Amino acid sequence: MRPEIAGTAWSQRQKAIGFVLIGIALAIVPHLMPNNYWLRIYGMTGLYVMLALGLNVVAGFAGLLDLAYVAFFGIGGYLFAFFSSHHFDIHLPFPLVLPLSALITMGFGFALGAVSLRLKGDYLAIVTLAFAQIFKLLLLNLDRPVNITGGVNGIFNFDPIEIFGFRIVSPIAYSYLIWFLALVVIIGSFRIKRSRFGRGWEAIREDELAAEAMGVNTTRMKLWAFAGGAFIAGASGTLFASFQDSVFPNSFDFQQLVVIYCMVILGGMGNIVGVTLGAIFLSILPEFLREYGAYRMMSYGLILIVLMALRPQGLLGEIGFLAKKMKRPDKDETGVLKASTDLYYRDVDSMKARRKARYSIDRRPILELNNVTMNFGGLVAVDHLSLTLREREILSVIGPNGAGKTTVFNLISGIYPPTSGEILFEGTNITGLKPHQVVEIGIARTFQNLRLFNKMSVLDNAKVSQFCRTKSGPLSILFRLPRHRTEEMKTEKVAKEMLSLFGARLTGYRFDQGAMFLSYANRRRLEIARAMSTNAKLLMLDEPSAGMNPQETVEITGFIKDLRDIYGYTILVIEHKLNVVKTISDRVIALDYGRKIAEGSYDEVACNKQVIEAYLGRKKN
Amino acid sequence: MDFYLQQLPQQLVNGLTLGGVYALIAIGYTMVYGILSMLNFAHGEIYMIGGFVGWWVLHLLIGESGPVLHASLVISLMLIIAMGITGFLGIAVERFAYRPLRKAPRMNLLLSALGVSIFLQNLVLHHQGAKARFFLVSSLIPEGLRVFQVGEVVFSFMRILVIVVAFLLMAGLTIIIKRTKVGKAMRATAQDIEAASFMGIDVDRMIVFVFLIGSALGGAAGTLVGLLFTQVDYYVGFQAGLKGFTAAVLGGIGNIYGAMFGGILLGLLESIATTFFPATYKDVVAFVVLILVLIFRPWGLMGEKVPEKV
Amino acid sequence: MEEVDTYYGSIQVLYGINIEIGQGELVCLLGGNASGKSTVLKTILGVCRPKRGTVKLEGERIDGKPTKSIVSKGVAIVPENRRIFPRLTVLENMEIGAYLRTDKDQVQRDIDEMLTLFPRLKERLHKPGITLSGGEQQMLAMARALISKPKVLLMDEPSMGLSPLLVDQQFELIHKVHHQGTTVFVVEQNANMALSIADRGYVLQTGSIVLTDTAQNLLQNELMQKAYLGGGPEGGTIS
Repeated sequence: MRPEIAGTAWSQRQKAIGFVLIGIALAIVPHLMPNNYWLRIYGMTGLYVMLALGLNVVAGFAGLLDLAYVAFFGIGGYLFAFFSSHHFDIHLPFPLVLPLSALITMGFGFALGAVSLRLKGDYLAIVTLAFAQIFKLLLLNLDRPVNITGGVNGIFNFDPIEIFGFRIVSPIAYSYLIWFLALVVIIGSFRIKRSRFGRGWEAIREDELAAEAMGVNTTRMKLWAFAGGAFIAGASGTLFASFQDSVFPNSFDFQQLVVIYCMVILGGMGNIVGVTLGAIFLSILPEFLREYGAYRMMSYGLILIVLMALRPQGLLGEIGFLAKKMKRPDKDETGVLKASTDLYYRDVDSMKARRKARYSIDRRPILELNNVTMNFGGLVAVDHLSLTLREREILSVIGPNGAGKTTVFNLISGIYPPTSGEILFEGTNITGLKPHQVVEIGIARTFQNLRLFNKMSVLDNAKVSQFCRTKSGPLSILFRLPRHRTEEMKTEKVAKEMLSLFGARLTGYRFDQGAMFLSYANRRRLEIARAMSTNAKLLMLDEPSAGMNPQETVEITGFIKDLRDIYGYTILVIEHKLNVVKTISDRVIALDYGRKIAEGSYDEVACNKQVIEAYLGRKKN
Repeated sequence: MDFYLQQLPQQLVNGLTLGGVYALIAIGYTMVYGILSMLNFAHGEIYMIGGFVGWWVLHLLIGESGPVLHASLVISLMLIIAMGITGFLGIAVERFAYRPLRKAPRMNLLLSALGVSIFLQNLVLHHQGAKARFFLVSSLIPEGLRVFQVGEVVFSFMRILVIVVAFLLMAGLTIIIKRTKVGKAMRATAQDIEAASFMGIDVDRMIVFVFLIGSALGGAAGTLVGLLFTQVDYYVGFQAGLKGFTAAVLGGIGNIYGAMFGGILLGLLESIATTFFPATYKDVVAFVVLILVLIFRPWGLMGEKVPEKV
Repeated sequence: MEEVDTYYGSIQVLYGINIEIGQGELVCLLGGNASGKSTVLKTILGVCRPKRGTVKLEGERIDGKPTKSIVSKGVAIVPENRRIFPRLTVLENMEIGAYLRTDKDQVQRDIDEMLTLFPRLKERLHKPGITLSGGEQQMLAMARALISKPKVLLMDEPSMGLSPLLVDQQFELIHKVHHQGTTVFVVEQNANMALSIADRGYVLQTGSIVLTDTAQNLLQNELMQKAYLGGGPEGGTIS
């Protein structure tokens, strides 16, 4: 896919026209159906759209392979049977039953999520599959001694439903209801995708550790992903039950799950338009291939195999369908690149003129490590390390490979707790806090090997970092409440600000470019910008200039200095290029075998015999 | 209490029988996981196809008045042909569905495996229909030997056979991996695939062997179960697959001895559970065990805890 | 290696590498982190394929060939961090080292020879690799590589992850092995150690060879210290 193709860029007017057209279509189509049979297909298609979009939340956005999803569909269905029929003789009105069963199902979603939190990938899939099996077993067997589920035949003959006085009995009426709700789900999906929730989920899908390190509360977001999917599935199940006027275990089995997965995968996981079209396509297709009905499930299997081998991103891909192609402003007609470095220097000079160096080191200690030790089952990576970092100081950590430098960063940012010792930030003990909490407190970091959210755009990568600075929940987001809109504006502002510090490299048309399409140097810059967007006070940069050529290195060196001089950050740097260290550092610490072997100004440390030995190696005896 | 104790020896025998089968299935999962770090979702269907092949061979060899060949020969042929066909099926699956995804994210691999599973299951459904096939076992074994009683315990010929064959196969596998050059190379590849390539080992070929052996054992299990319970249908793979996988995880995924141990343990657990719970719920045992193990001790009983490197 | 350029995807990592290793020599390649050292070894072994340039063993081209055939032509490696097979016994590790050899009796004799060379290994012959101490793992990895009777022995950062005492031992070992006639190519960060046993050395910096000389000369070369610790536009590249 070409890097120029950016995200959607529809204007408000175009959107409005689109909605009117869709509205008209939905009003007319039911009347175009030749007979009741096709009306029912139309209705089922709408239900499938909802189901697929619900799965899209948990598997598409968040990347969690939930194989129990169809069970939530079943729970919603059976709840309708319980609440609106003679089975238990409860007869609640539909406008109450629909949200009620969706919420109850959502509760089950939370429960499943809570149980599966620690599981990754394959194991998550298997455990959820096991739960789905248990669910089906319960459905089949809970008709003795007390008939709860109606056993293999299920429950049928439900109350007819009524909404605000309108009786919904005919297939046409059901079509309107179902597709109206499907539209609601579509709109909701778009809204949640473009919010902190959507970005948080996508970050988790791309790289859970990096998401956590950028302030996303991954535990809570994973729970919400399960819950969100379950909510939609539950609502769909309730509608389904009413539509079919019956529920029985076979409607909610593994085969049904596979069909829904195919819809989501075919359309492109995470791509709302794609999933919708995929659902429509795969609902209708079997009708045209009736004679090949026996091959239906076989083809679903084949579809999965072939898609994964040839086009795992689905037919429509994951990034922006219906995107308008944007022209790159820095390429002329022949495609030759005008040196973007020139653009940068132009901007930098103008920026520098506006700001003057304001900051220098404070006396106050901002970060303290007291006797921190990290023991990995026998391997001592960090050995009783103590250090103090003062506010607005730039401290460089140097040392040969394996000296424990990155481990120190990991300890500070909370990826694992130290075996002993404590870490204090601004006087508060932060030892053992989870990474997203550490970010909240004001420490952000970059990764030595770059952990960008590759399939997300540059701007979104930066926006993710504002997750811990915003609070909007699903309700604010779905209903576009003022709090959400204010926060979105703030998020965009902060992200763009941080990105613009790197000049035109990461701004303008680059905002919407996928992170994986950037040059290596720009990826390193984005990694830093992303950390900065967390509103951190302390930045920990792990080899910020790794892999950069001399010119880029000079640039980044100056930039790091500016970060403190002009913007007031406190900085902890791991660096190997000692000329960089010399230029930026107020103080330098040298580590070897996890222990501090020297501390002081650059000149002091660089001439230290132990340090030289650590790098060049001891002379042989 | 007495009642339960009385049942114990019987349940032990039943458990061992089931356990042997589960172990054979579990080995297939664990070997593939050990070398490729992937869950071969389709393994259950391979087991099922093994059962069908065994049925087909039996069907062929039983004429109007009884088996055409001696019973032992018939059973041997069933096993050999089933193992052969499923072994090659396993190789084909690896070649066409998994090898292209060697460098792909794990999720894609799992979904592809899911696809293979669905495809195979429905292929058999389409080809053979939904009704179960019955193994005409009675014509194989003389009347007197079929069932006999020792004290309180009822033995059946088939049960003994299943236990013996299962253990023989496991013993054979153990010899291969411990004593032969290829076996050692397979183990080395499973432990460190890159270092193995540095030794000059043809890593792709090792992977093929693993699928060959793992699938063949799964196929054998399918035939044995067919002989034991006298029937097979297109759906058995799904359930058996999950249970086999549970056994593999219970013992420690990636560890072949763990798979054997886990299989037998699971068989025993399931048997003993049937004395306390109604039969329809016996499958729940496996699922609950699976969920508990994966949540509390994912590295299994014989595995090692592996920390994630940042 | 002649004019080798290697890329990871679209990023160039090695620029015009020229390295020559003569029969019976011990040559070392020095460089700091991110200099591209491991990539050089990966290119030789066929794990990475050079975009340009050639790699030849005894005049025969091996670039672009699969790892197993390169190894079969006589290249053995002691990988970074040794990477012995943890659940194979000491004996089995060595047997795997001899995987490509077909002369069973000679292999047995060679194993015995290794065991006299490394008596500590004999004591733990049937214990799984993971139970060995760091030093013993070193020896095992070396034995495993040597038993294939390689034409060239590659060593990837032998000092990595070892305490200073073990580093001394390790280089003693390499020196001994070289002394017995094996051609060795050592890639190392610890320059002093490596140069103390080597005949010649190359210095690698951000993907290019910046210096090459005999080991003696390099040890005394001031520029080398600078290249190692400095580097970059200010520190002064060697030109």
